[in-house]
This record gives sequence, structure tokens and C-alpha cells, in this order.
Amino acid sequence: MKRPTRYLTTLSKVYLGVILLFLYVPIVVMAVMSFNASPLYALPLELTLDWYRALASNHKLIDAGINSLKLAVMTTVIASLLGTAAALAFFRYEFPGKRLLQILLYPPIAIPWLIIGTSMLIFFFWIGIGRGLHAMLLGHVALALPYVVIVVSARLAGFDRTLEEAARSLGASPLQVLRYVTLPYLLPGVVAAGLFAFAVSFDQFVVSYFLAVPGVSTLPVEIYTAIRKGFTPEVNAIATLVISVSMVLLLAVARLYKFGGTR
Amino acid sequence: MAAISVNGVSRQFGSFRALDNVSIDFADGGFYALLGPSGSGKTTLLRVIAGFDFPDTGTITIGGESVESIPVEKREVGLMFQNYALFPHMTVYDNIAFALTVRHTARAEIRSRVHEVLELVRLQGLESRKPAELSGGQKQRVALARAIVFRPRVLLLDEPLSALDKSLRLEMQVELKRIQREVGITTLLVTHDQEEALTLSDRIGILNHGVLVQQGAPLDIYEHPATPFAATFLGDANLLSAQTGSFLPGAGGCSVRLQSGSTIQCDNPDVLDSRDIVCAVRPEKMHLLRSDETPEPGMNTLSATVVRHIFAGSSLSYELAWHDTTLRVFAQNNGAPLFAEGSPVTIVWHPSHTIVMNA
Repeated sequence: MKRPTRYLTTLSKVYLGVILLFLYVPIVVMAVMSFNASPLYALPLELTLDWYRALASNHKLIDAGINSLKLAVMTTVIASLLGTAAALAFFRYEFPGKRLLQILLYPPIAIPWLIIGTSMLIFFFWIGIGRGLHAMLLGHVALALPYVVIVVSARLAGFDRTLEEAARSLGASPLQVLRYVTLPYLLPGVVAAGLFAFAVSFDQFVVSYFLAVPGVSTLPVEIYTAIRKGFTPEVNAIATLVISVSMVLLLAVARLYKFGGTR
Repeated sequence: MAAISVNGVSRQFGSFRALDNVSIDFADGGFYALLGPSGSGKTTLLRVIAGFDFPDTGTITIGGESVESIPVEKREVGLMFQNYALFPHMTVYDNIAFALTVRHTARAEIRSRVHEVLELVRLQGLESRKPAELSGGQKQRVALARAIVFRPRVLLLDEPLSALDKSLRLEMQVELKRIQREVGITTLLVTHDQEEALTLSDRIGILNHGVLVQQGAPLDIYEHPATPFAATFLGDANLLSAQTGSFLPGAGGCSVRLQSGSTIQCDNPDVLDSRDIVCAVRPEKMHLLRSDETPEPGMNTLSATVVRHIFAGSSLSYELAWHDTTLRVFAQNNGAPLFAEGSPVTIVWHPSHTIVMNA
């Protein structure tokens, strides 16, 4: 009776270990090599901060990084606001075309970014928006919006509407109900949705690549260009920085809201 | 504190008529129960009074003031929900203080008012707990405190005790009644639990299919139900159908010929329409005699057979076969010998306990 389950437990542990190995070993290797003096990944390791110093004077990468951050922050704010409002409207009201709108939210997640990027480029030129940071912002917000609506809607699904009724009966205006009851309940969902939006924008390569103008690009586009020109460990350095920052951010949020755990 | 007046209110949801021309007055300071099965319209009536829903026709006044154009948050109505609806992210103190906070009441005033109601509901010391850390009975008390702290004009309770287990429910009934008396607020309780309605309220309104069937003091409704529905929904009743046109009012009493052929006496002359009559007798008003015993003169009697008896400690209930109907009779367990199953008996009751109703 006991033996098969023990085998299974061992097997699943090994399986999990292999998954983690394949996920994290490349990242760890990259991080370690960003401190290695040899640009050819030669061992033994010779500790150096040269690549980080080189990075500090690489204005192209730094500017691209700043652009990426700006875009991601603006995308997060705009997509979170619009998406939360949309999710609330879907939750609260019945209106003609509601089902259709809800269904239309899903295809953008499934359509390849390459196709979305191409069509955005054509469309933006056609209506005169053109390329550049503003076009990228529009594109990123459009890409992030479905994620926000879906994540916030999932949180709303568990919301007890009698809480809003209770608040109103106690004298709260619709705005006060939103501020004191609905939004505090929604906050973990909105934060998770905001993280998604941030990730969609910050990681965005394809759509940004199409909408970037020469001289103004984002970090993923710039890294790609740098790799094409010839790989330097500076890329390892900036990637290590980015990963460290996002890890810290994610852990902080997870700790704050206990994702997946009891609330 | 204020009286509520509901005049000719109807509410239709698609083809479902939730309220059908309901008119009822709730006097200032009274404790009312709206009693009915699910779907009877009692909750709709409560929501219409609270302002969450609006009547298609008819008017509602609170304290003499028409409330049609007043939104929920301005109606000054305290509400207690079936699931308590406590704000999960706020402490007990913040939950109770909510109504005062949104009114921008001064902080010191909030503090003293919250402590006042905490004392009233006997929850001192739990201010900083979150709702998730409270027992069912404590949540109940917080919900009540929150609903009365801003001194609303009326208190509306939507099945407030149905989530509690029986012993806690009885305890909370006593508490609710005490607090309502102390505060003196007009209170409207929606419930499907007849016992709760009988013990708590000064007046009961019985609703069925959106129609107000009967209203009155608990004792009045229990002893003189106006319809067979009221008779069977509030308490148990043995219904005896009468032959059409067999209701004969006479001096000092009247007689009814039942469909089985037997004639019974009653002294209930206030039925106007004598065409279709149904009689009812409460099971506890009947008692049983052996078939060879002679009942006192002037009593109603029916001959029946014991089908089974159900022993419940302090009391017994008999199921009896009489023609093709089953009758129930309650008896105290006072040491008298039980009637065996299958034995022939005589059911005896006083004519004044025959309830005569229009079918």
C-alpha cells in the first residue's frame, strides 16, 4: 500500500528539482558570468566589476532601460485604472453587448504578438499616430488591459455584494462605498493585475520592436540589438540587475498579500 | 424612531409578482415580524423599504415622509443582513464606527458612541478584533451594533438569526428583544421561522405569493387565522373541509356539516361569506378518549383510529386516521396510558376551538 505512494513522492520531488534546475541554472550562470573577467565564459572565475563599470558608461543601454521603466510604470498605472474600472462595470451592470465585450477580451492574449505588432504598426501609420514612445505606450496598454480585467474580475467574483449594500445602508455615498469597501477588498487583485501589466510592458519585445524609432528604444529591443552586434558580458550585467530588482519587487508584493495563501 | 407606512405597493420581476398591492403600517417603536415561506415577497418588501429596490406602484413613508426619491444612504435605516455583511478588512471598532465615519462625526463623539453600543451588545474588549476572529454570535452582535450606532429611524432585520445554531439562536432572540426594548427603535424582522416571529414580535404580518394574508398580534393570528394558509404556516392545524352551504349560524353558536357527513359546532360567527368554508382545529386543542368513554355534553367529537404515536419526552403527538385524512393531536406526557396503534378513539374538542375560515 505504502510503497507506490513513496515512489511517486520521490518521483515528483525529482521532477520538481529538474524543473527548478532548468529554470534557474541559466539565470544563475548568467549572473555569475557578469562578475567574471573573461568575456568568453572562461573558468576559473576571476571576480571583477568591469562589466558593471562598462554598463555605467553605455548610454544606449541605460537610456533604453529608462525608457522601458517609464513605459512600464505608465502602462501599469493606465492599464490598472482602466482595467479595474472595466472589471467593476462588468461585475455591476448589465448592458447591451456586455457578453461580446467580455469574449473579445480573450483573443488578444492568444493572438501572437508578432501579428499584433504588425497590425498595430500598420494601423498606427494609417491613422497618423506613427511610431515612437507614445505609440509603444498605446500598444503596451492595449496588450496589458485584458490581463488586468481578467485578474481583477477573478478577485471580484468572490466579492459579497451585500457588503456594498451594508455600507450604503450605513450612510456611505457611492464614492465612499468604493473607497472604503470595494477598493480595499480589490487591492490585492489590482496589485497582482498591476504586476502583470508591468511585466507585459517591461518584457515586451515584439510590439516594441515594431513601434520603436531609431535612437529611442526599450531595453529588450536594445539588448537584442546588442546581442546581434556581438555579445558582451555587459548584457549579463544589466540582465542580472533587472532580475534582482524584479525578484525583490515580486517577493515584497507576495509577502504583503500572501498570494495563494489564506487571506 | 419613526413609523413606516406601506400603501398599495406592488413589485413585478418579469412575470413574477413579488409584491401584490401590499398595504401595512408599522407603528413607532414596535417590533414587527414579516413571516412567509421563501418567495413570498417578505425580503422584497424589506428591500423596498430600505431603498435597494423600488415599487412599481404604491408609496412608502417613513416617519410620515415619502421616501421614493431618497437613496438608501439618506434613508437613515439600520440594516442587519443574514450573513452579517461585516467588512472583513476592518476591525470591530471600525466596522461599528463606519456609519459615523462616513458622516464625518467628530472623533471623540465616535469613540463614545461606539463604546456605548459595544456595552449595549456586551462586546467590550473586542474592539481590535477582525470579523474573521469572531464567533457567529459575536458577529451577530457586531452587525447589530453597527446597524444602530447612528441612531437610525428604523431597524430592518433580514433573517438575522438563521445562520446560528439552535441554542445560540434562542439566546440571541432574548438579546435582540432586550436591545430593541432598550433602544425603542421601530424594528422589522423578516423571517420564515414561525417560532421566531411569535416570540420576538408584537405584531406579525403573514405574506404568501406577494400578498399580505393577515396581520395582527401573534396570539390573535394564532387563535384566529383568517385563511387556511395562515392557519397551517403559523403553527399546526387540522383542516376539515365543510360541505358547501352547510354553515348554519344560529343563536349562541353555529354548526358546520363536514364533507365526511359529521356535524361540528363552533362559536365563531364573524365569517361573512358562508359559501365555502374550511374549519381548522389546532392539534393541542384536541384530546383523545377511548371509544367506549362518553365525552362531556356539548363537545365536538370525531371517531378515529390511531395510526402511530410519536414520543418527544415532555409531549406526545398522535397521528390519527379519520375517513381519508390524517389528523394530528398533541398530548402532554402526564402519565396517562398511551393509546396503542390501531386502537379506536374519540377525538374531543370544545366548540370555541373550531376555527371557521373562508376557503
